[in-house]
Amino acid sequence: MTTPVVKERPSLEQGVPGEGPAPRKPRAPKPSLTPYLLLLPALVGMLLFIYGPALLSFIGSFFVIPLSKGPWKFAGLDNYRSVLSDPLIQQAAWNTLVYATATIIPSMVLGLLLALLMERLGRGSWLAKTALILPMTANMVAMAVVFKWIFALQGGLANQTLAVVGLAPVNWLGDAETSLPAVILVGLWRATSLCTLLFMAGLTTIPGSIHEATAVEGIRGFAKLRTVTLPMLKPTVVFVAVLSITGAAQVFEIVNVMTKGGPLGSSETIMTATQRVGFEYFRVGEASAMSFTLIAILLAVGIIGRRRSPKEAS
Amino acid sequence: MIRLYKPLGLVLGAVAVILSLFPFYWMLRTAVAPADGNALTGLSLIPAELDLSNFARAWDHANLGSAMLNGITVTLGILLLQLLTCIPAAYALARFRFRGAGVLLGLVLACLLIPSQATLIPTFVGLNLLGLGDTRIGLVLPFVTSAIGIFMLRQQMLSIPDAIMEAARTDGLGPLRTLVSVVVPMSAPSIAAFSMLSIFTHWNDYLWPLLVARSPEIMTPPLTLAIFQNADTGFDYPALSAAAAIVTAPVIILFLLAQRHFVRGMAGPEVAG
Amino acid sequence: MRTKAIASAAIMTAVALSLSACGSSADSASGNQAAAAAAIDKCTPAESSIKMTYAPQGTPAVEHAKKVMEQKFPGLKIDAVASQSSNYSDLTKQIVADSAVGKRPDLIMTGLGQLRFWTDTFNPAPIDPATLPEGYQKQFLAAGKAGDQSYLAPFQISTPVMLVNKKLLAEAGITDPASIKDFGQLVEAAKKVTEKTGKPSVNIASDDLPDWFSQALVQSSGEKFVADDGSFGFDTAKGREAMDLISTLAKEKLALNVKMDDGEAQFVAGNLAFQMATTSRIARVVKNAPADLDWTPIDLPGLNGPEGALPAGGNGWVVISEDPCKAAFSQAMITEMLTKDASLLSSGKDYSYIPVNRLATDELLKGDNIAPQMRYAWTYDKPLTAWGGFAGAQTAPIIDTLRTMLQQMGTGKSADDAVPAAAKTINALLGK
Repeated sequence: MTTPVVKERPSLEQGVPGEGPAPRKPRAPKPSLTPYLLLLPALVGMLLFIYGPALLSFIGSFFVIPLSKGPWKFAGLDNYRSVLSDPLIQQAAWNTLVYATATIIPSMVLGLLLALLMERLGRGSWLAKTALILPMTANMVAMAVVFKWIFALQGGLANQTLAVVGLAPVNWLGDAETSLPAVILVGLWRATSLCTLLFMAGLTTIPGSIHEATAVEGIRGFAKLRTVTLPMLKPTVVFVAVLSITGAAQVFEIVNVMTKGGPLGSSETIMTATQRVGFEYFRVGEASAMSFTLIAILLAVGIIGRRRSPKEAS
Repeated sequence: MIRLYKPLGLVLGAVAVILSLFPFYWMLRTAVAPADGNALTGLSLIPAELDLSNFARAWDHANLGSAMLNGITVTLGILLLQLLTCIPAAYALARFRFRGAGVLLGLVLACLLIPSQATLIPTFVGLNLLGLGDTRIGLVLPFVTSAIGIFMLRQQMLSIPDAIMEAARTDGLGPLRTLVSVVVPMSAPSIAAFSMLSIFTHWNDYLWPLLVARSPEIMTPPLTLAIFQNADTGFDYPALSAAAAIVTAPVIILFLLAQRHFVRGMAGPEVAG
Repeated sequence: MRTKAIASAAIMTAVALSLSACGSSADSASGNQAAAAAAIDKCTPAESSIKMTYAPQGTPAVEHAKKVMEQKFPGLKIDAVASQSSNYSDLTKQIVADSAVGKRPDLIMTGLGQLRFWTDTFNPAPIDPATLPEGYQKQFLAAGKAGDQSYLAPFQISTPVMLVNKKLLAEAGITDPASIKDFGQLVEAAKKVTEKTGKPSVNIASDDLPDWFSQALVQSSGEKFVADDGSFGFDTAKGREAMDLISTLAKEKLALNVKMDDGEAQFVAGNLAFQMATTSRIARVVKNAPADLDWTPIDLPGLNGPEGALPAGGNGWVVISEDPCKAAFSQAMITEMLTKDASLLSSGKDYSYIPVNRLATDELLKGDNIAPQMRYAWTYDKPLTAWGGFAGAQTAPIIDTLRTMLQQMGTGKSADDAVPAAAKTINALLGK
């Protein structure tokens, strides 16, 4: 926000009622039920299927719950105690952190680079754009099946390629050393595509007049990226980061299809562990405690992110 | 310097495009490999012969006929409900000033942070108590609204010029008529982009159907595909790849048809310049 | 707005509490209580139906029995859909989740190792041995007992076995595979083969049946899998020494350490000398192996040669119906699935289980050109013990713990570390 040029841009948070100066003239403040009625269906949906369950998972985390019929037994903090002390779940939390770090940062950097590149290429690049966005539309179960085959011990493309170079086959998905990296590669493939799409979309919101202005002033290359493009993209970056974090925190399909979390829990993630505890060990209360902890962590990350975001502070 | 970047950028772009597409190519390539078990000794990069019988076998074994129908029903059902709940909500948050608007917007934005998968267990337990487990309604209901949808549509609606809204009012249009005949048409790019996003998400959803859909009659494509790959098909990678290709195809085709609108719509309000 | 927020929070809390309250109003065991069978002549077939869930290996016999039942009881509806996975843990998971959404089956197939899960959490109806058909080998019923009561009718029985590639052994100078009786001999033979081929020569998979394979290695070494007080039985000097086989194979680079299916594919391709398997898979290997593959099943070796009885593998039928008439028809269905004709379908040429009906075995052995490997599978008549034996509610985490134990030793960790760790975890799960 250093140049006057930047200030004129439309912002993601533009026109939040009650925040900052209103961008346009306020409507006659005639008290009306209309906005509430318009919001009602969505709010009911959110209360019933997002906030209600979130609250229920909080309540349920203090009970021993049968999967079907039967009484709930109050268990105090037992669920949290056993979840926090379970080495499988500790490992799952650690793996999820590794997965998140190893996918979010590279995918955001790559996504931004590719989006800038596509912008540079201009209209002729629609074919390349399409190719880059394709992974984010694909069915992840289907793609995990394909990647499982690529990493298969026998006949898998990865090992065929190694054989050409004269290297011994690697048991990619069956070895504790390589299972998580293989899963991360697939996650990166997917996440880069999503980031590229969102950054391409974000870049189109930068008005052409700004490009002209910077061109006139002779700002280009890295200088332009640093002083003009990146600051203008900040809302997009925040949005991409939020989606990336929640996406990485709930990675499930890839792991479930490719490795089932194994071997030795080496690719277990929070979501696969929650599924295992809830629907294989039938400890629904413990699974609720895990779900609620995840929700709490993500909300905390979101709130801190919002606080830290300079845009919001202003 | 600049001169060096350009070829470097082109190389990066070319590599990225190849890596993006390759898994799709490999899926199709395996899907046309002969189903004689020789796939296990490795496949050549380019097929020497095409065996299309894998698709028929995959269609039968993975029960894809009914699964595709279910997938379409469930995905479109969710989309319809989401549009019905998100458009009015976005309209209210974008174009009305009322007490509590900030709080309600905050409630919507906070939903973006609550992963849908983290609330599945209580939703599942609750749905079963209502007797909606193993029903198509149960597959649709939890996704009746979408925070991201409200967010995207609100951004678009904010950008509608005041003058147009003003004109609608002087023409005597009530809020609902304004919504239907002015706001919705002017938000078409975002509505289209969000619709595609919703279709991608729910066509591809796996975890919720995995819990709720117990009977084969109501299973969706990712679920039957996952079951197929779990089953004792041994090493029938050609049939598995064929099934994967069938499951992937509808959304890919939709995306290819509407690709340009999608990126533009994702961008939100168009900026003149 | 504040009042609205408070009101909505109150509503959510009310919903939550009413859900938990409606749970606690039910009496304790009712959720999973099965009904005892009624007298079948008091039930009207046309007014009843049974829903059954089973793994695909049961399909041919189920379809046969279904036809017989529909003739015997006109109007009876039998809803029989095979699950897609043949894995018994997956099957249990599916049935519990089905029950959670209100689609509880009346008659289920379950792996013999999962029996205690059902008796401890679902209270199934007892099986009346008097209803079993002519020729049924009642000694197998032991594998379906919890306490003194039969709850499961064994249907397809198998036993752990070592598949051996005779050609690879001969090339390494070992001409009589059956002479390999103890773990030392196995390791020596594996070393010789590996020296010759430069490849790992033994596969003991941990993915599919880790509990059963561990039990087999422990029991064939003459140690107890479950101690008399129900706790972990083989954290003993002998138990650890037996389990150290896995670790030794890994350290000596003799272990292939891949999934059961991958190992079987390598074995069929002639690349693997020893594949630990189950006799039920012999039919598949016979079918898939090229004609020139020279191989044989041998009895599973033990630490000092085979000492104790092996655990019975395979599956059987359990009645968990909540309705007395459905339970009665389920019993009748079981009978039809254990007859000679059904047994030929469940344990014949496609699935090399040990037939539970003696008449079927006799019939199978009358055929010409029986592959010797099939003969081994059909006629295995050494004593078998029950599979598993730990208390049932923790079946799934116990299996995972044993898988972890095998996989740790598969990376070379000593049994002196891995076995006590598994013992500690499992005893904690059991509250011992």
